[in-house]
Amino acid sequence: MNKAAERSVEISRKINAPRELVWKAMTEPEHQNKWWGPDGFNNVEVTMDFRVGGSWTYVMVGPDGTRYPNHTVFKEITPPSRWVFDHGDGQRVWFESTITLEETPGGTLVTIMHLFPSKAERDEVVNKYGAIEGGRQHLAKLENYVRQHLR
Amino acid sequence: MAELSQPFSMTAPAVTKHLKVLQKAGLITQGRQAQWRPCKLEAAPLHEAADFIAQYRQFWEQSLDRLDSYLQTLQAQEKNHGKKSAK
Repeated sequence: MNKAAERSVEISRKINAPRELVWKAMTEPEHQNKWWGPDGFNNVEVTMDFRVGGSWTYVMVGPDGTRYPNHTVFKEITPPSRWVFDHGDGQRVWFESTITLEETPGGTLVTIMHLFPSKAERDEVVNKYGAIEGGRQHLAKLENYVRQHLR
Repeated sequence: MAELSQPFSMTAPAVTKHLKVLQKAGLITQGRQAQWRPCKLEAAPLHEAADFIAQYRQFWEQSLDRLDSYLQTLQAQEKNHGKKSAK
């Protein structure tokens, strides 16, 4: 059994855009804020210093007003194809992420890989993200209400 | 062990090894009943892992959906800008 596989999550997506543009959209703050985060969430108090040793901090505010502090520290940056960072809430590191951008005939393949140091860290995030799931359900209820009453 | 390994193209010792790993991961518990070692699947950790990974994946899938749309908008804007700046 591959222990690392138990501790990691990988997501990939092919995007119809040139790699340099995807790099910009994913690493420059004025672009990041336009797409980053689950539906119904906003990023506030954003600071961004995209260099090795620099950090990206922001607070994700959920639809019910709950605030989730986020803190990323960059460890490796290889434009325009790859960067690696530690991510947490400012007090603890939850996981290490590697994002790679690969040129493809149709555009760019984006791959995101999160590696959790241990089951304990993963469990803690389960609880935090459980809260996000709650927020998402809240939003689903709101959406239903809007569809039914405000058409 | 013979019974458990039958449906699989795997030797009994290999099955034992896998069961030990599952046990160590807390995914099965092994009881004792005379010469049987009944294994019980502890599904909770598996569910947790699956739920958490599903949530995380959903988080990213939503963000990537929006990144994709955003990039299409950006490219369309750049095209228009290109048309406007006459040669």
